Amino acid sequence: MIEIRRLTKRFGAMTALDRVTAAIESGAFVVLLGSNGAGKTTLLRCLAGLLAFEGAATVGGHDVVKDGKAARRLIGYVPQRPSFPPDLTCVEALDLFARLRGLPGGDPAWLTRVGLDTQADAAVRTLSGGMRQRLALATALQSDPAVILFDEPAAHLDPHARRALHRDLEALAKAGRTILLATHLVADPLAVASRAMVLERGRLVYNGRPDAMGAAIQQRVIFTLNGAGPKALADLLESRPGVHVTHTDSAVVATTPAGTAFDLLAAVAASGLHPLGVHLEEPSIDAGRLAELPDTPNDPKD
Amino acid sequence: MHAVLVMGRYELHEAIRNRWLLAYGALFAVLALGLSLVGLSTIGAVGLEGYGRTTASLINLCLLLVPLVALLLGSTGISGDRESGALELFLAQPIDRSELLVGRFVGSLAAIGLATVTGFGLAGVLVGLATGANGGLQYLAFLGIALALAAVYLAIGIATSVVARSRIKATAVARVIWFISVVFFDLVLIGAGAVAGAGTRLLAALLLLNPVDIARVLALLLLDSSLEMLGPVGGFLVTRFGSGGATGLLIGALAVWTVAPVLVAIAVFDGRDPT
Repeated sequence: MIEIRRLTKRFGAMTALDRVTAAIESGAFVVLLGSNGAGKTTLLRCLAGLLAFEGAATVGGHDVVKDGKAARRLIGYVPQRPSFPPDLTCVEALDLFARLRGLPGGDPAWLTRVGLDTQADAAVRTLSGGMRQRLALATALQSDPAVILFDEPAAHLDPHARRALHRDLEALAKAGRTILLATHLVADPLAVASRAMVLERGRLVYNGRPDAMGAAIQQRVIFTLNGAGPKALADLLESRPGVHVTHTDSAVVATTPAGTAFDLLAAVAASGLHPLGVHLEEPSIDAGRLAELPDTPNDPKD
Repeated sequence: MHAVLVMGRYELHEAIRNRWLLAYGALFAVLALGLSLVGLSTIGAVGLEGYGRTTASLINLCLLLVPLVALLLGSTGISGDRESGALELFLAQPIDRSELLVGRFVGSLAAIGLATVTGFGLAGVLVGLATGANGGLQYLAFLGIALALAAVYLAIGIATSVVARSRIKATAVARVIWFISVVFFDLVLIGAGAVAGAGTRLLAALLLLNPVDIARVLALLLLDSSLEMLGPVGGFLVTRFGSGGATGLLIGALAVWTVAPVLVAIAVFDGRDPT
């Protein structure tokens, strides 16, 4: 459904995307991962026809540059910070974008589907960021697009709403839609996605099954101490397999493969050590470990 | 074409919602009636003037205000959408960028046209009813020139909005263009004629470079085509091309001034990343 060939995007001297090549089949739920500034948003904008680029990309066989209108007819795009004309009400925004997609008008039932039915007559400028993103999702889905490009939905959503959204997207993929979801948060979408693509400084460094990423997904656990000294705790944590530890006088930071953080906590609790506080960061990707995985594109020409 | 109409309707709807259109129409209605009353009081009577003198008075007002309103409206369109982020959503839809631009142009022109015709038209009806005066056709011609001038400066404003990187820059450039059009260019023409000794042929050519001057001569030509009213440049055009030919030339020049900026805006918009 989506073909990307040696896509390169430069902003002046900065290369935002560097020869990205990938093919995404119909019905795939692809999570596009990477830290802030890795090029995720830029890639989605290129596919949506918003940015000019070198290389080529097609959606449903339509070149997104030369045949952009036909390609965009297949795409529903939800940007990271959707900005509708501020004075429009939700119903009017839905109607305007429906008509721009050739529909006879907007169907307010879509507002109910995204939980905005009580805001139907509210001006867009009065909506929160999360509400605007849900409105953008409604405007994108109402024409039943074959491809959905969704940029950082986590930015405005609480964890519960985020998981609900991921389940909805998974259902859409099972119904044959192709989903490309860009996010810097790793944990939730990987559980439901059929494929993961990882961008690192504009280069595609992984393109494969999410469950094969294994130890490349790391999580930091930060223990705050009461001044008794970090040595005993650091020694205990370092004895665990795959755990890397750094410490200061008042804190110990353990980096562990995602999914093993609670094992660490259990080990600490069993040891009789009593740190003052524990903070679990969101899991993140270790690009260095990704390079060792078999699905990593190794061809320097790609 | 469908997308052009959708965008045009949206633009007109926004103009009505934001009340500026109502304020603009009311302003012109009040000024048109006021000018008629003031003009008559200077000759010692009380009441409303007929169409001829009212129209002549309104031309100067129109040449001053219509370009300013159209430039400001045009210059804030795309640049405002770019700053707010709405442009990203619009361009992600299955529409051409040219459709987006032309749609905004058509909608904004409809909004200005509605306000102008409502404002001036209301005043025109009242003047006609109160005085039973003749000259309604001249008044209609004046309305047409006002709309043509609005189209020209709206197109220039939209081009400014596309080329400038921010809304503030776009409106600043729009104000400079307005100043050049209504004040500075006339000084250039006077300087060229009086100081440099430019002939009427050169002055006529220079006149075509400024839509406000084109509209002024066209209005005078339609109101009173006598050579002494038209001045040396207008007189030269009538002598050279005839009244009909000069009218056609001036209308054609306004059409070029409308189409060319829109084409430039489309070319720039198509060739540049919008966000």
